[in-house]
Amino acid sequence: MSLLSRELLLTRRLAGSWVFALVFFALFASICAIALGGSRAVMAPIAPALLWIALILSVLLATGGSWQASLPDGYLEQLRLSGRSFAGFALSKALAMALTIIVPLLIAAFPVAIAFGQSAQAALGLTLSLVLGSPAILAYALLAGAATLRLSQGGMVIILISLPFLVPTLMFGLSFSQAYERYGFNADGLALMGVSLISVAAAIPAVAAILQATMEDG
Amino acid sequence: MQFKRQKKGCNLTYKLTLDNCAIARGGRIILSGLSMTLKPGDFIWVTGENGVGKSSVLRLAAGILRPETGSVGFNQDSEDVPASQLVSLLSHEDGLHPALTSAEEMQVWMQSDDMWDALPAAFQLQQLRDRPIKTLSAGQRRRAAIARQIGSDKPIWLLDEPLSALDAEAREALMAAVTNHINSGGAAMIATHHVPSRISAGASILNLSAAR
Repeated sequence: MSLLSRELLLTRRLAGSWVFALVFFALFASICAIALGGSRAVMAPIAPALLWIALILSVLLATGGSWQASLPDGYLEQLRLSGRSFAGFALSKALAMALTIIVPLLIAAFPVAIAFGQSAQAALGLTLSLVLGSPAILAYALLAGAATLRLSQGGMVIILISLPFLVPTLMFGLSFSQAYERYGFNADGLALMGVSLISVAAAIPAVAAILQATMEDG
Repeated sequence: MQFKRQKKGCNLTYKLTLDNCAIARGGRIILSGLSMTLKPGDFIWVTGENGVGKSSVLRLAAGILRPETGSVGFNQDSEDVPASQLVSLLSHEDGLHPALTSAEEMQVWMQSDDMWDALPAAFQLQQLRDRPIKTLSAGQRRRAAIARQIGSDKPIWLLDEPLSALDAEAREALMAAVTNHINSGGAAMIATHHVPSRISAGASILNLSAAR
């Protein structure tokens, strides 16, 4: 069994996580709608911002702690002695999280955007911006999660570490989604993809290095 | 037991070398001047009081702990190889996930499914293989961890307190497996705080308390 199938099996068995993320996403959107009085005229202009914040928080909360849940003590040593690379493990973990947690959120984003008074074209642009930006969100969530692996109160710290790094992603994402309705796919989309690629490319080796240091510290 | 390794082990020459190593814990040197080699057929039993550094010696030999000074070398057919090619480690923390079954965990770690047949019958793992790790008792879980070690098919076994939580029958089976491993060209290093004289026959004893 490969590490990826092990990770997929774990995310499925420790159910909760993806359901939790989806319910949080829906609840966050509902609370915002209630707070804004439910008027589409008020909600429509700020829907992209709300959905971006909802996605960021859902992903950070659902995936940041996943190292702790799936790494029993001694696992890293056995991983090292089985000859597998930590980078490969980090990538397997990231893929498993993307498939089981992020994909359902992205699917849910479109109907939520419509419910918030977006036109079909605008909802598509918004969803597309979330798709392009989500790898960056996941990358920082996993990186912050690995860095706080040995902290008992990791959850809050993960959010504190990741949020500042996500500012560029958020800015490009929102400007891409706002321009999409009129101009279609635009340059901000490329910038967003670039930010995501750089984040993933930096996070995977960084996570591997952190895991290595964590293992050597015992 | 008929391991595929039996043949492989005989043909290979390998060597694990600790050269004048010092081990630090929390910035304080707890052990220094440690030198030893493990070659095919070698059996070392490390002992000493609690906290003397037995586990650290094993983690050092597994290439997981970096020595403060000195060096650790893994060598096969006169070439340097990564530790993962030669060594398996049974430590206190077994790394088995409570939510997975032993069969699922073994699929990740074992070289092939044939390894199930190579496991000591006394471990009774066939009956446990589809139960989640969290439902196993301490002894059963220990047996699953030992099974992974045997199944990972490495020439050098490092075992940290392997007898704890095991019943008499499983201890016998484990020691028989170790003896078999050594006779077929493997090497082993066991660490326990107490050396049971009856079953440690053939091992060279390394008392860390005395060495200090």
